[in-house]
Amino acid sequence: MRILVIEDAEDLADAVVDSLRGLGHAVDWAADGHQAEDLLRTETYQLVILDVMLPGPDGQALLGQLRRRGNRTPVLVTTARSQIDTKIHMLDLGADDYIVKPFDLRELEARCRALLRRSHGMASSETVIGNLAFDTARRTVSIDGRPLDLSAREFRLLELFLGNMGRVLTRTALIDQLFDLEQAVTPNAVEMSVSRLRRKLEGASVVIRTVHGVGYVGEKQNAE
Amino acid sequence: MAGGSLRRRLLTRMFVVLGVVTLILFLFVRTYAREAADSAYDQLLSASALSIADAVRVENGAITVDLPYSSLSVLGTARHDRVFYKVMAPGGLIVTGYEDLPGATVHDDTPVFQNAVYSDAPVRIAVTGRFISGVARSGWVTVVVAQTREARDLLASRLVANSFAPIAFAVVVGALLLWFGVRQALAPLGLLESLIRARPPQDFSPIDAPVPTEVGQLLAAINQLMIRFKANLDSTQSFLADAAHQIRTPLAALRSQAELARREADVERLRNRVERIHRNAVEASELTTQLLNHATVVHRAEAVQPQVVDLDALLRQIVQQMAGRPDAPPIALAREPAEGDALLHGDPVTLREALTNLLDNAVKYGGANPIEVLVRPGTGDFGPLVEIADRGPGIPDGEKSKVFERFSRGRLSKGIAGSGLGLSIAAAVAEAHNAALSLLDRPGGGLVVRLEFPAPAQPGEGTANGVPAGRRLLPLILFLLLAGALTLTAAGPAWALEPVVYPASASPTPAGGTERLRIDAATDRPAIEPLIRDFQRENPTVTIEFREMNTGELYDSVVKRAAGDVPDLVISSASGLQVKLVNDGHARRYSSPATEALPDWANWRSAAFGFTQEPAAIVYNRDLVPAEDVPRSREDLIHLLRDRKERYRGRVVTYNVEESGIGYLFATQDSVLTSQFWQLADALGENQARQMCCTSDMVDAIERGETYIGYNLLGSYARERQIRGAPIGIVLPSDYTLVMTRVALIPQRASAPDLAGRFIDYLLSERGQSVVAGSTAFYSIQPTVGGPMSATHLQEEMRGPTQRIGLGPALLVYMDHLKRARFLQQWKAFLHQP
Repeated sequence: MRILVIEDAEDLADAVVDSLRGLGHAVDWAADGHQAEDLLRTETYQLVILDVMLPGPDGQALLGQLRRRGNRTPVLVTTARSQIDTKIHMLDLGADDYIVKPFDLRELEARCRALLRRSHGMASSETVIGNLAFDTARRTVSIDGRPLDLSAREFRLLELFLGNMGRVLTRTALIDQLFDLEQAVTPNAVEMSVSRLRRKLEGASVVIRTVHGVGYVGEKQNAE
Repeated sequence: MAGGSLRRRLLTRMFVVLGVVTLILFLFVRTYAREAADSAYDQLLSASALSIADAVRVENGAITVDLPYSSLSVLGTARHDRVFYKVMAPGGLIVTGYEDLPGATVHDDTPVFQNAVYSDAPVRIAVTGRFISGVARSGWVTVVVAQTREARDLLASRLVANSFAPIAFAVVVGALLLWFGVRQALAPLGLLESLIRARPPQDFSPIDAPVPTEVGQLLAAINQLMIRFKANLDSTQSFLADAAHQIRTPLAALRSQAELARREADVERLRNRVERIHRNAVEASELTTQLLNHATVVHRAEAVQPQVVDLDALLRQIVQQMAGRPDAPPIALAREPAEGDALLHGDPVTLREALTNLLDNAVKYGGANPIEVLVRPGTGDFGPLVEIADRGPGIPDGEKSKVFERFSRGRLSKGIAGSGLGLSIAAAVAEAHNAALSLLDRPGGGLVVRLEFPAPAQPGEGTANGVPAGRRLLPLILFLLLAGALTLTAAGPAWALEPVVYPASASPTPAGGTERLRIDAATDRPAIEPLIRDFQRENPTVTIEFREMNTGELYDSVVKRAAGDVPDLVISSASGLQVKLVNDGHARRYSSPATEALPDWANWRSAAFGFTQEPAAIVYNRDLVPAEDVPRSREDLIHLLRDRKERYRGRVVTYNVEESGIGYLFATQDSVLTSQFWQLADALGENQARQMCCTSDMVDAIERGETYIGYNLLGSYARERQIRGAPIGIVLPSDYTLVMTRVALIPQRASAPDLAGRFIDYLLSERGQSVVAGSTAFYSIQPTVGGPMSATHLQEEMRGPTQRIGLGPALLVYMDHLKRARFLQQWKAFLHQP
């Protein structure tokens, strides 16, 4: 998934970015309000992690702008302020969740998962389609109980297909959601990832079908 | 003066002041009243003294004085006051009067007044002089007249009462007004209090209540204070929030990086993580230190007493410490000028913190370039100054004011570990020391931080004159109160001198007790016996010792006898002598309903009590004096004596005035009342009138026919004889009839004064007066009782005006020995004609 981390404390941002990338997400970092403003206007993200105190336009201003544009991207606010007033204020402005610094990275990851899942319309971290079991929390996939070894990117790709079953995902949409700005991406790289995933999904109730000239679609295959 | 009730404090002070003012007014009024009373009575006193002075004569080369009747009777206006006088010849020799009366000789005829104590009583004295010539030693005769202060004091106290009553009323009204006023004035404070108490703890909004202007100022101050509280609270809260933010951010980074490091397998990346962890740990710890320092600075600025700080020494220590750091650039400490001590009053701990922070900033931002520290000692109007100059990037003008704020860091500070508290701590310390902290651009690039301390305060400023007004006022109030108390105490004895009033004790004594009443009387025992007997019927336990003596002996028995031998009761018809006993302080006061009921002329100073009426009458033998000869008036008598010399020669009798007190009294009173008195004396003398000592002898002589007519006999005595059948006629002269009263008094040194009082009460009681009216030789004084000798009978027999010989100081005139001698001499001259 594509995630934007807006955080002025460099070392903290570094830690968050590294940890999310490790989970296979495409993560961009904005160190101040102006940078964040630009990115939010030009790029599409599945999740924004937003610090409240920022040089330039602060977290409140950014959140306000975002929601006024009608952008419904989930926003996770991070702040050192623990006052209930600040929390309420940010939630009222349209934040989806809230985490107080200093936080446990695992907690941050869990909250991010929950927000991403919500945007896919999934109720829990575990999804079962036919013989395929997909668990975002434990980051495991199995076919008929047999665990599947997927890379972080393959996992995210499968997550995209599972979240958009029966819907065609264009190559550019896939690139946007899988790669951050720092990674040099070619359409080829998408194709390679898809074909690797397809191979690993052999025997599963979910198949990834190629829609020529457009992209790919994930479909449920009924076992005969 | 702290604490306590404001209302009570206000009221106490106001009431104290009111009390003092009242006291002052009272003293003023009292003084005024005394002066007014004195000036009124001084006129009389001076008139008396002058009239005596007028009567001073030289006779046979000796100075003598014929005390005018008016001289003392004029003082009788003050009815109950005792009077004393003396006349001194040139050289101070006493001519007549009270020898020991205070008053020195004078050589001036203007009366002067003075206050003194005589005969155990405060007296007012008038002294006047009279130049006498024609003596061997001509010179100034001094006349001294004294009068007790009772009438004056009575008048003065009436004046005080009358004029002080409205003042007292005004004071009471004033006190009430004060009380109400203070209550009213303080009511808004109570309202304010309830408003403040009713507030929730978080409510710092201004109080909006309708209060008077005066309280409005207080309210405005309270509102201002609340705004400041709110601002302070807000700033504290925002500081806490800032501090939390500031400390949480590095901690968050620290924690996240540490978590990643734990997962990291790659050594190079792990090293990178550890580097980041270290950096954030340093930042967090520095921040913590600064936060604690900041708290210390804030606390110390409020709590620590300033002491003398040597800036030179302090900076030397800081520079030395700083130079010890591995990354420190060279630091140069300069002095300009080299002389003088850079001393100031302050807190060395916080100053060290501030200067360390400033130097630390210079080291952080100045890079490797040398840092210059300059100290300038204070001179006169300027305080000491410290400048720290670096060659760092400096601070743009727009940010200079911002960097003093907490957690605010310059734009160019990126990448340098810092808390953003250093400069704000320095600013707080500077503020606590009244110093100016300024950031200046350094010529040639870099920043100069200047810390400029104020000039030392002028000595003696602010600490002196710290005594609150209340404390300065208190001794004054205490003094006034003390003075007032002393005045009251000093005034005390004047009141304490009021005579002790002994209650009547007419009730029977407890069984078994025997009481002895000693009566000395210049009265025939048979005349008084019925009264004594009747008294004893009422008081069976009382033994009465009755001694009859003449008036002179009676006087001596009161004045000269040993204490145990003094009679308890003295009864005499010589009212002049009785009055003198009272006047000279030999009588005891006695007061009971019975004595109070006596008419004024029969009660003097509640010490001399008249209990009979005894007219002076012309008594004749009815058989020997034909009806046409009976004189109806003194003029008739004179004519009779002159016209019928042969028949009445040697057949007229009157008192021997030298021997008889009553005779002297009647004669002297006649001499005052009628201009014909000496004619009468002449006529008596021509007729070779006989003189006898006692009424009974005279009545006997008339009854027997030895004499035909008696003049100035006690009419009551004769009446009693007449009732018993004596062939005598009694004429109460129609020109005027002298009526005297028999006087009872209790000697000062009496051993049974209460019993004597009971006897007096008996004499004046209905029962006693009935006995008087029924079976004695006296007319009763009580108008209500009946009997042959009742007052009503006497009144019926009166043909002319009654001249009562009232008890009072006027009677003292003829007690004067010179006056008496002169009178007797004159009397004899007429009566003993060849």
